[in-house]
Amino acid sequence: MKKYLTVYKTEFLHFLQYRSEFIAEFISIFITLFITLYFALAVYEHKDEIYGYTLSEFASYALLTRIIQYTVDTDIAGVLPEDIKKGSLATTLLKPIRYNVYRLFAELSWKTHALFYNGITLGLLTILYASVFDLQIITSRIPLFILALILGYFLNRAFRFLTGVIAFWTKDTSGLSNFIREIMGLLGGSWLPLDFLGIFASVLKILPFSYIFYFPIQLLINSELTNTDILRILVLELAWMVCFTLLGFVLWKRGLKQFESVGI
Amino acid sequence: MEYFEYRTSLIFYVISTFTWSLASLLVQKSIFNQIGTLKGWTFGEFALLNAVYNYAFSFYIMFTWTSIWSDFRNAVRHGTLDQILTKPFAHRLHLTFGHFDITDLLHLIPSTIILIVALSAQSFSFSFLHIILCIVFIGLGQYMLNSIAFLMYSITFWVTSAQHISQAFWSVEGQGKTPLEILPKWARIFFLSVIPIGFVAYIHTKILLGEFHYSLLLFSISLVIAMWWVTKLVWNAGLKRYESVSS
Repeated sequence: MKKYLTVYKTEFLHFLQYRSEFIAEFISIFITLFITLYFALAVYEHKDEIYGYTLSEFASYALLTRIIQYTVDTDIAGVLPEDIKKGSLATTLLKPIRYNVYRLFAELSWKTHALFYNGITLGLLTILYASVFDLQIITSRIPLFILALILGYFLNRAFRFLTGVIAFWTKDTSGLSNFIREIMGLLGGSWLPLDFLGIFASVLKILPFSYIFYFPIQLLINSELTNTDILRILVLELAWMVCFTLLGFVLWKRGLKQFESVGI
Repeated sequence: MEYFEYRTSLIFYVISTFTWSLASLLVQKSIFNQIGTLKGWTFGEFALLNAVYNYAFSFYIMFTWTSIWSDFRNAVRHGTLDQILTKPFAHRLHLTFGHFDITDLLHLIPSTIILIVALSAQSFSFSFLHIILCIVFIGLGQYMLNSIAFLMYSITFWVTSAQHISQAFWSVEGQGKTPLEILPKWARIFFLSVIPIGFVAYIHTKILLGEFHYSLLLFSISLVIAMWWVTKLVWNAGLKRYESVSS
């Protein structure tokens, strides 16, 4: 564990050099949520409820989507294929560390920065949203939401690891990664609540992507959820995470057997 | 052309472009089914705005994106910019338009699909004059978009690593497909002057819909000149700061 903590510390110090990058993230978050705020006001201008969501519920959903997005974001789908393609994976395999754990701690280092800076931005925007809308957040369920967020991060990471490990066979997965990112946004309820998609909603709620965005948000805003529903959501989220992790482990082992690098 | 080396990746890249476009339409349709109009915009007009935006975005990706993202940014960061500066051609032009990848033409296909959906959702009557004006404004808009991107990535001269600038840029650029009527007046003025993202697609669509004043043409040309001057200032300031050793 000490070696992984050293990786975390080294990467943390590395990212301290580029603090200005978070100004760019601040601009990105601010503009996105600012436009979303006025988009919501425009959509609900003549309607009190759309697909069962009031303006406040929709605004709460939009805000929580951004919070989840910046929490569950992972770079494994880009980093792993790059290491495989360039052959630099070989140098990591020679070290007495597990690649996935090494990447996890490296990622957690920049996520610490990101969560700190983005947390400030999102906190300020939450205050702005709360002044305009009556945010429908069930505060007693915040610990459950945090648990769902953590599970959602590992679920997202396990799934993106799967897409990355395909690089053992295809070498470049940028197209696939792009496709997955777009499809997860729609299927997971990142763009809009799944309920807005009418007849497709019931099918999309079965898919694992809905446990990254849609269901964790429901935990926090849907007062109709019973304790059984909440338990079912968390258990299924955990189950999907375990399923993708195991699948990723199997594909990793198979991929390593036919991985080669020359002259590294 | 490197996409042709990895055909599986290319196939998924094309599919993702289609998926994003069609999914956007599906989402927009589901909202408009409930509300009818959005600040006076019907679904057909909204889809037309998105079609124009997608064409503008496609042209930008074709001619500018790779140059600015890969060549310019990396050249500054890795100190190889002087290999370009020592060559006898227009450096800013090269760094903005020096790359053209024929596979990026594929982006035009989903744009065309969205346009077909827009035209079938509503009957439009575009006058020949307005179509010509729209094309002129597309050219002006592309220059403004390229200038915005150039200015944002010029920050590399000062902060060295500007990787996340792309997130800020795409957030700004992505608002080009939203009707400015949803924003408060001060924000509309901001997106039509300081960061003129309204000229990526919104103004062009308004022209096609018959809402055009000749003062807008004068204002756009003035804005283009102003942006040319600002990018020149920033470029010169950046070059003064730039240094590289043994590149």
